[in-house]
Amino acid sequence: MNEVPENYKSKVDELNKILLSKNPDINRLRDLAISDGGLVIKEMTSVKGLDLHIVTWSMQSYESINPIGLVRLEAWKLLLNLPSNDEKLYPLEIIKDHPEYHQVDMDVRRCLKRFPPGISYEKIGILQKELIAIILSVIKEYPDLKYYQGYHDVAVTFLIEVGQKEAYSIMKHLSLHHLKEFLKPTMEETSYLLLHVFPLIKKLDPELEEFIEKSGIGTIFALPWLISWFSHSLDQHSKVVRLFDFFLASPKEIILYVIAQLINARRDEVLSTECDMACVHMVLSKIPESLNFEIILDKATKMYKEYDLSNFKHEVDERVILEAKLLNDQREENAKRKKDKTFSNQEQPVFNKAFRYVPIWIRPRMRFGLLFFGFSLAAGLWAVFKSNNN
Amino acid sequence: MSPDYDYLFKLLLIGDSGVGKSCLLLRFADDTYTDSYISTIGVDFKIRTIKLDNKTVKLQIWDTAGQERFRTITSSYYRGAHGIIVVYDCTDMETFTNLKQWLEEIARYACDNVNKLLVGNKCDLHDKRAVDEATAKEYADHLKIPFLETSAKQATNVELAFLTMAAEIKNRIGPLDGQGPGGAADGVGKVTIDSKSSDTSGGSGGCC
Repeated sequence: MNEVPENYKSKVDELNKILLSKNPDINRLRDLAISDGGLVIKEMTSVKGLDLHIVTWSMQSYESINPIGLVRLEAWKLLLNLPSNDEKLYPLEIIKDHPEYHQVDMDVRRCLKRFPPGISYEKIGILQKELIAIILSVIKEYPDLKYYQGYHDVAVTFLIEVGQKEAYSIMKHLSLHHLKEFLKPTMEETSYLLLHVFPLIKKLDPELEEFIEKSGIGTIFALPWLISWFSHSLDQHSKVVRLFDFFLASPKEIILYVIAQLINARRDEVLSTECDMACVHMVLSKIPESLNFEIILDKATKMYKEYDLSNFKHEVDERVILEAKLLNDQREENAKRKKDKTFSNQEQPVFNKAFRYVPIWIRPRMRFGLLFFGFSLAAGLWAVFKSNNN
Repeated sequence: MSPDYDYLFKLLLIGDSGVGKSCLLLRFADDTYTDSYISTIGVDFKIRTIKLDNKTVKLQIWDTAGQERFRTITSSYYRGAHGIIVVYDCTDMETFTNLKQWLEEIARYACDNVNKLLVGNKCDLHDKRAVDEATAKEYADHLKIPFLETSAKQATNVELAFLTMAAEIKNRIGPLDGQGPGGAADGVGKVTIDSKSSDTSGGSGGCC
C-alpha cells in the first residue's frame, strides 16, 4: 500500500532531498512540479515534528492524513517564495458584515462535491466555515479585489491540502498575482485574456479554430477552467491538485496554453459534431475523466516557450473591436426596433393609417392637408373656368 | 438527415445567484434534485424533448451564472433565445426587487418578441417566505408576463413552467410552414433560432 509507484521513485527521492536541503534548488523543484505527475505526493509522514519530512506514497483515505500535506505545503511555499507568517484571519463577527458574505456563503454551501470522499459531513461543515473565513479575509484585506464565483473552488483546494492558515497565506499571494485579473470589478480583463485561446488554437490547427469560431460558441465554455484553474470542472481532487502543482510552478499565462492544448487534444470529437453552438458546447464543456492531462501540460509548456502571448496581441485586439461592434450593433438595433414599435403602437386615426401606403413626399403635413389641397384645386379650376368664360 | 423534432426552442434561465435556476433545470431535464448543486460559472445547457399538440418540441435550455459580474458575458445568449425564464427566490425579497434589472437586460439584449415567464422558486419553504404570491402575480400581470411559483425540490410546477413557456412560444410562432392539413412537417418547416449565423441552424438533427 505504501509503495511508491516505480516510475515516481526517483522523483520522490529527489523531492525529499530538495525539501530537506538548507538551500533548496527552487529551479529543480519547479521542473519536478511541472513534469509528469507533479509533486506526486499523496501523504507525508512527519518524523520528529516538522523538522524532517519524508515523502511517502499512500492510498489511505483522506481522514488518515494528519497533519495534512505538509510536504506539498513546503514545496508550494518555495515555489511561490512565500515567507512564513502568522497573520490572523478575520473573525466571523467581522466578515459576516461584508457585502459579499451572502454570495460567498451560498457558493461555499454549494461546493460539497469538491471534498474528496472519505471526509465526514461533520468535518466538511468545519472546513466550509474555514473556507468562508479564508475568502472573506482576503477580500477584506484587499478591498479592491472583488470576489468571483470560482475563486471559492481555488480556495477550497488549498484548504483541503494545506489547512486554513496556510491556505489563507497562499490565497492572499495568488490574489495579488495569478488570480489578479479575475478579481477585478468587471470581467473585461478576464474576457480579454480568454480571447487569446483562439489564436493559440489557430497555431495548432487552423481548421479546428475556424470550426469553433464558426459555431459561435465564443469563449464562455472555457471561463470556469480559467478562473478556477480547472477545479470547478474536474471531479477528481487528485487531478486538480496535480494541475495546481503545475500552475504554481509555471508562469501565470500558461493556463491559456493548457486550455488551447486541451481543446486541440479533443479535435476529432469537436470536428465530428455539428458546427453549432450547442453541439460544440456540449462536447467541449465536459472534460472526459480519461483525458491524459500530462501530455497536454507538456505540450503547453513547450508551446509557451515557442510563442509569447504578446505575439497574439494584434489579433486579440481586432477580435475585441469586432465583438464590441457586434454587441453595440445588437444594442442599437434593439433600441431602434423598440422605438419603431413604440411609434407604431401609438393610437393612430384611420386617416393616418391610410397614408402609410402613400409615398412620403405627397403625404400632407397636417390632418386637413388633403381638404386644403382639394379646396385649392377646386379654386384653381374655378378660376380657369371663369377666365375661359370671360 | 431529417431532424427528430418539429420545433427547436431555445430557452434561457436568468435571475440572481442562488435562486435555483440550475435546480429547476436539473429537475426538468433529469428529474433529480440536490440541495448542494454547484454554482454555475458562465453558462451551461440541457436538453429535453416534449410533446406539444402532437408535435415534438425539443427544448434547449441555457442556464446562466447569476452573479452580477457575469452579466455582460452571458448577455450574448439573450439574442438567440425564443423564451426567457426569469427566476427569483420566494424566500428572498432582494431577488424579487432585482427582477427589474433582469427585465432591463432582456429589453437591452433579447429579441423584441421573446416570450417571458416569471418564476418564483422555493415555494415549498413556507416558513421562510418573503415574497407574497399575490404581489408577484400583480407585478407579472402589470408586465403582461405569465407567472408561476415553483419548487424544484418538491417538483411543484416545474414541468408546468417549462411547458407553459413552450406553448407560449409555439402559439406565437404559429403552425409550421409547408405543412398541409394533417401532414407531417418536413425539414423546411423546422423552427430554430440562429445563435450567430443562420446557415448553421436548422437542417440536421443536431448533436444532442
